[in-house]
Amino acid sequence: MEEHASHAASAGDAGHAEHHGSIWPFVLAVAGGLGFSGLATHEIPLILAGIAILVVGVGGWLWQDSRGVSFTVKGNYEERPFAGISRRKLGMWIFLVSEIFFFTGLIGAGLTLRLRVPSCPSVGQACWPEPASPDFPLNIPLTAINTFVLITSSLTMVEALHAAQKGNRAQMKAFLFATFLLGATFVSIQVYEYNKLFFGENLTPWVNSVRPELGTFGTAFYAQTGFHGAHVTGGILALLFLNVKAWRGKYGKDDHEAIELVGLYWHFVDVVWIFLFPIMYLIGR
Amino acid sequence: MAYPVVQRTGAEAAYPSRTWRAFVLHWISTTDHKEIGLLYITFSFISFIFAGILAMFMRAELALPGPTILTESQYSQFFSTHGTTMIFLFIIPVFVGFGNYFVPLLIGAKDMAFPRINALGFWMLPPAALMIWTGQAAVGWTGYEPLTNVMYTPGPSVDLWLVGLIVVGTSSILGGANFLVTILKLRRPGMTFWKMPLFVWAILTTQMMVVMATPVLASVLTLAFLDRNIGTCFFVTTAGCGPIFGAGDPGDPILWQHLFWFYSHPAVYIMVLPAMGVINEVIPKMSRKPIFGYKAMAMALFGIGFVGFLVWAHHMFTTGISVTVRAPFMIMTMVVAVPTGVKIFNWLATMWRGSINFKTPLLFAVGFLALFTIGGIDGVYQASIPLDYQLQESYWVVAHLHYVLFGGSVMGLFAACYFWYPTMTKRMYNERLGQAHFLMTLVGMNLVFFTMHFIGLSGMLRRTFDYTSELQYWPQLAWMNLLASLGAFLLGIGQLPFFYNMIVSKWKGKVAPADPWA
Repeated sequence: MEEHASHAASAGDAGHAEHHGSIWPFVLAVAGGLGFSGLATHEIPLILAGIAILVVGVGGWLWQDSRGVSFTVKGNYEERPFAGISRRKLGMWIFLVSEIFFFTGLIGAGLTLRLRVPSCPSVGQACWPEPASPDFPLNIPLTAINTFVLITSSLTMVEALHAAQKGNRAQMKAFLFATFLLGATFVSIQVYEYNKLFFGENLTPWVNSVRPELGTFGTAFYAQTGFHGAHVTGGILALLFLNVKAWRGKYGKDDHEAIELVGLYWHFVDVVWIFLFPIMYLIGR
Repeated sequence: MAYPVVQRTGAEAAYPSRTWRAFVLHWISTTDHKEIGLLYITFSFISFIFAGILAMFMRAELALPGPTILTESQYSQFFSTHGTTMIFLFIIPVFVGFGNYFVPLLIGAKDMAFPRINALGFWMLPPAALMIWTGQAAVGWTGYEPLTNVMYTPGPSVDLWLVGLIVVGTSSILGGANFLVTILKLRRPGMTFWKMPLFVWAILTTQMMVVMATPVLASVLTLAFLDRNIGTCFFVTTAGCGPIFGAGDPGDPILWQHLFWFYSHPAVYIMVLPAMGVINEVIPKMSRKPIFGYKAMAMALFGIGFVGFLVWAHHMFTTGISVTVRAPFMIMTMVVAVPTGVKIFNWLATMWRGSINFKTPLLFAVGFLALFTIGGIDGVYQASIPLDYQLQESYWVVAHLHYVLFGGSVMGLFAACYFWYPTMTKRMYNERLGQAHFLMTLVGMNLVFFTMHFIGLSGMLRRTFDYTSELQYWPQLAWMNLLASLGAFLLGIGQLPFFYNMIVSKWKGKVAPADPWA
C-alpha cells in the first residue's frame, strides 16, 4: 500500500492514489438487463431476479458509501461560472433537465390524443369527457385536496432543509418525516382514485366495451398520472432513505446536501403535477 | 497542442495479480475513465463487426436479382438490426469511449466527475445489445407505427428492441450528465471556456443534446411498449383501439414519428459532432498550424446543435403534415448548412499553407472533409420539399445517410483511432497498413454509397429484398446493384488491416516517441 501510494504520487497528474474499483455498477447493470428482458418477454422470474439483484446492487453501492469509500475526484479546478454549485447539485439539475424532456414527450402525446377527438357528448364517435359535465369520470375535489397535499409536502421539504442549515436537527427530522407522510398520502389517494376509476367508472388504459365512448381518455390519463405517480414513489423511497439516516444521526448544519438534492427532485415532481392537474382535470376545450 | 504519452500507472499498476479471475474482476469493477473508455471502444467495435457482417449479407443478397442467400424476413431483420446496432451500439458509444478517455486528459481532470455512474453507463450497454440482437426485430431502425404495433409484429422481438433501446437511452443520459458536470466543473485552473480544446467543445455540445433529446426517445419507446403490452392507444389505429363507433382513429401513428425524430434527428448530430471534434484536433496538429477561427468553430458546433433540434419534421414531409409546418422545417434544415460550411472552410483554411504531415490520421481527416461535404450537400438538396417527395424511401436516402454517418462519423472515428493510438498504447501503428485501410475504405465506400444515389434516382426503394420486378423498367439496376455489392465487399475486407493493425501493433508496434506527430 505504501509503495502504491508513493508510485502514484511520483506519477504526478496521472496519479490514482485515491482510485477505487466498484463492482456495484456491474451488478446494477446485470439487474437492469435481467429485469428489462423479463419485462419484454413476460418472464416473471426474470423480473423478480432483476429486482432482487437491483436491491443487492443499490445496497452494495450505499454500503460502499457508508464505509467512507470516496469516488470524489480531488484537486483544484476551474469552476467558473459554476463555482457556486456543487458537482452533485449540477448533476441533479442536468438530470432534471432530462426529466423535463421526458415529461414533455409524455404530455405532448397526451395532448395529441385529446385533440384527435371531439368533446363529449358526441354522437357516433369517441369523445373526450369535459370537466364541467356531470358525468366527468375524474374526482376533481378529491384530487384538488391531493394537489394541496403535494404542494404542502414541497413546503415541508424546504423547511426540512432550512432546519438542517440552521442546525436544528429535531425540526429537520420532523419536517423530513412530514414530507414523507404527505408524499405517501398523495400516492395513497391516487391509488384509491385509480381503484375507483378502474372498477367503478370503467375507465381503463385501453378502450373497453363497457364505456367505449371514453376512447383514449383513459390511455392519456393513466400514462401521464401513472408516470408522475412512479416518480413520486421514487421520491418517497429517497425520503425514506433520508428519514432513516436522519434518525440514525446523519445530516445537520454542515451536512445537508443530500436533503437539498432530494428536495430539488421533489419540487420538480411537484411542478410536473401542477401542469398535469389542470391538463387532465380542469381545462375543458 | 501536444499530446503527452500517458504513463499507465495507478490503476493499471495496481493489478492484483495476473490470474484470469483477477483480470475479469478488475475490468468489471473498474471506475477509471481511461479503462471505461477502452471498454466502450472495444464493445463498440464488436458491434461494428457484427453489424458490418449483417451489411455484407444484405449486399450479397442484393448483388443479383431474385432471392439468393436470405429469405425476405431474414433480410428485414438484418437491415433493422444493422441500423439499430450501428447507430445505438457503435457510433454513439464509441465516441462516448473516446470522450471518456480524452476529455479528462484534455481538461486536466483526474477522472470523470462521477466514476461509478460512468461505469454503470457502460455496463448497461452489453445487456441492451443482447436484447436487441436476440430480438432481431424486423421494423427498421425507425420502428414506424403501426408496423411496430402488436397487431402487425407480434411476439417479443419488438418488445426486446424497445426495451433494449430504453436501456441504451438511460445509459446515454447517465453518461451525458457525467460529461457535462466533468466539463463544467473539472477543468484545470485557468482553463476558461474559450481555452477548452475543440474536441471538448464538441463533446460538450453533443452531451447537451444527449441530455435533452434522449429522454424524448425514452418516453416514445415507453409509450409504444405500453401500447403493445398494456393495450393503450397512443399510436394504434386498429384492433382494440379501432375506429370506435365507426368514426375516427383514436391513436396517431404520426405522433410516433414526431417524437421519434425529435430524438433521432439530433442523434445525427450526436453522432457527427464528436467526429468533427476529432477533426478539429487532427487537422491543426497534422498541418502544424493552429486551428483557423477557434471561436467560430466552437460557436458553429453550438449552432449546429441548436438548429439540429428544429429540423426533425424534414423526415416527415410525405406524411401529410400541412405545408405551413413543412416550410419552416425545410428552411431550418437548409440553415444547418451555414455553421457546417463555416467548419468546412475553417478546416480548409487551417490546412492552407500548412506544413502538412500526410500520416494516416490526416488521410482520414481529409476523407472526412470530402465525404461529409458530399453527404451534407445531399442533405440540403433533399431538404427541398418537392425533391423530397421523389427521394423519400428510395436508395438515394440510404446513400445520403451513409455519406453522413460513414463518410462523416466513421471516417472521423478512424482518424481518432490512428491519431490517438500512440497516446493510448505508447506504440505506433503500422503506417503502411493504415494507408491500405484508408485506400480500401475510401474506394469501397464510394463504390457502394455513390452508386446508391443512382440506384435511388432510378427508382429502387430502400428496405426492399428483391428488385426483379423493377428490372423491366430499369434494367440498369442489375449492374448498379452488383457494383454496389462489390464495393461493399471491398469496404468490408478493407477493415481487416485496421483491426489487425490496432490489435497487433499494441505488442509489435514501434515504441511511440514523445510527440508522434512532430
